[in-house]
Amino acid sequence: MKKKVISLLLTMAMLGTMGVSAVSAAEPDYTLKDAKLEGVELKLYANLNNNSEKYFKEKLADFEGDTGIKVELTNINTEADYIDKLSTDFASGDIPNVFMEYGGARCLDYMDAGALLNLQPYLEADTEWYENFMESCWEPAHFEDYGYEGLYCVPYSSYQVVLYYNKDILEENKIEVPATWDELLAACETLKANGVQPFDVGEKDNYRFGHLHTALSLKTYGPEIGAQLGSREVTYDGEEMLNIYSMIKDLVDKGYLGDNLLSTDANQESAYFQEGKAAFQYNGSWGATSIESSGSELYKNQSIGVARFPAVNEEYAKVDMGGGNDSFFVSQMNVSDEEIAASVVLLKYITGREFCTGLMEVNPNTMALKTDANVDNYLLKDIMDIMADTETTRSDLQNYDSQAHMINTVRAALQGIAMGNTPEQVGEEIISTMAQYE
Amino acid sequence: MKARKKDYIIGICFLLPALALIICFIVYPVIDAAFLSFHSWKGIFGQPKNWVGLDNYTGVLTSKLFWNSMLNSFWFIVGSFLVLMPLSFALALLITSKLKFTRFMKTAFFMPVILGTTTVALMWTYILNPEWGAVAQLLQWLGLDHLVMDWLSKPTINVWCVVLVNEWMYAGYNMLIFAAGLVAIPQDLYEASVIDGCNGWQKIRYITLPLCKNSFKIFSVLAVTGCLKVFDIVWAMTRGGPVNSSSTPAILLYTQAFQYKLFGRSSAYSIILLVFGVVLSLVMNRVFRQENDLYS
Repeated sequence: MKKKVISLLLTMAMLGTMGVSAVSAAEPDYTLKDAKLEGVELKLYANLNNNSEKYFKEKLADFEGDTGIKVELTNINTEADYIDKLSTDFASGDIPNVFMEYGGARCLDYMDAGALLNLQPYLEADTEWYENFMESCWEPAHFEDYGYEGLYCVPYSSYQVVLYYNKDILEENKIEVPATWDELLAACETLKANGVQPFDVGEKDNYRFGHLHTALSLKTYGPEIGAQLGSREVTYDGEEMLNIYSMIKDLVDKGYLGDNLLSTDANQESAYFQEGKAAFQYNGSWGATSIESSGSELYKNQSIGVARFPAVNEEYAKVDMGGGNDSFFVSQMNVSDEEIAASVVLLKYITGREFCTGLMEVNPNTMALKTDANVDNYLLKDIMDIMADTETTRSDLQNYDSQAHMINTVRAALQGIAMGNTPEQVGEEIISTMAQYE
Repeated sequence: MKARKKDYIIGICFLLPALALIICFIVYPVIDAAFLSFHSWKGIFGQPKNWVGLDNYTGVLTSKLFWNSMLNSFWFIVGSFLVLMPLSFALALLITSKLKFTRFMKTAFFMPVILGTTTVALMWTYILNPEWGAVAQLLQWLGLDHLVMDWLSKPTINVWCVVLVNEWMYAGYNMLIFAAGLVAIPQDLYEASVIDGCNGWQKIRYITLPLCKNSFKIFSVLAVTGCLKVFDIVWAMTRGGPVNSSSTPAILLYTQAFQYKLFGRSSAYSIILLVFGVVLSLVMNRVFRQENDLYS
């Protein structure tokens, strides 16, 4: 009898313990208020410019002092090198705890491997933090189309591809700021006839045609074109895309985009525009900051203006390339619970209102977060107005694909236009490369 | 007998450190790459590698991209033998001659090697810029405007531009290989040849060239294997573009792994390159051995 009582008590104690642990496992503390994280070491990877890097370093030292969490920042300025570094470290197992990426198909391999932390419970547990993000910028965090519910990153900056123009050149040549594609073509024709270079595109960095292709596709076929290409409902060698390649080729053949497309890189392109050597530049909203920091006389004289990317199809006039840009992800691969908790604490810090307000002061940008910063850059103010008036934004079309390589494949093929390839050759190149990887 | 055994053990002990390094840094990675080349892996640590048999190899060997990259490597090999070898040999003759300022010449010719690949590549990319580069300016000054073009963007021409920059850069390095061979030739032979009435060219043809065979052998093996795996100078000047027109197998190996995340296929590239390299090295050795036999 005594034995039975003891065994019953022991069983109850065991069940009780299991019950308690089951409850605590089911409901972890996503607020992280009582988390003891002193001494945890984290690796943060980012693709920041020099001003932002300096600011991050200073603030991360403060963060370490306040929380006891040590953060090692690895920053690589150039995007391509940064992405390569990230891929290499994911392969070797030396994975950063928190890292910057762009979301979409390019992060799908990480998602499939279960490497990314679902941040939704943490965001929902801290509504103040959650509500500080712009609602329109969450697209990179969603992977529902691939079968993953939740939010897998927090957006950091937002962007929109816009048309910068040189007011003086347009005035001298009696040209109005083009609002439609036809008006832009007419302006280019006039400028070319008057010996002025309309654009000087740096296609040595092949994302330049990549962005043009996305912007033109969205303006012509609307916001669902990316998803249609991703589902192969629309093909890269089909009529719709051949039409877009032809539009780009037409610009190239007429010399509107410059004479040395492949020997000019994106930095040189910006320098030419800032020096007044080209009348237009299509670029992301980040261009406003680089124009200001270049010390351009044109900027000082307010001779540079900015407008929405010209409409091709009136129906989609306010559909633009843009949205959430770089975002921060948290890795949950091969890390302890403390490291995950510390990563979220770090994430909250670097996406907090105070941190981002300070960042905006050293590096004004269109952020995906609400800040208290006052923007002095007149171009950025105009861009913010354009963004506020935009109906729908979509990122690179290939971000809606199921194949992670598509962004490289399409950009490489588009570069062929600058080499004289026909639209059909571009389509064929993309399809044949896709066939190799499927 | 015992003493002999002891010698062996001592010999093995001396070899062990080098052997351990070779196993760690050459043998193991090669075996690992060979293993990976039969698998599909997305390049995320700890994720399973799926067996795909020979798919990666057939994918590579039936790819137009691979054969185009091999053609580009072939142009590098052609450039090595047609440009680099005579140039380096001529420079070696110059710095081992009795001319004045040979010390200065040695430093000057070796300078591009010290500069480093990225510096050289960047410098030449600017020099070759069709708009404001030095070559374009020079041609325009000479009234040869029609020859100005975007050299680094035209297929084949861009590869040859990189080949020539590569030869310019490595001429100084290979000069040292030939110079080492040249200074080892006994002076008596030249003195005897003068008595026999040899002129300058005949001295080179009948004494210098035959006695420098080993230098040529070293150069050839290094050049061929180096050209097969050339990466840095091409990456820094053209990134293999535009549209992969200047890609080499090593560039494809890199992009397949780190941009396309096809680590299995990338490993297949590396194994194919290794096999090509080993076969060509053996052929080189064979060719030079036959010629040695002829002269012996």
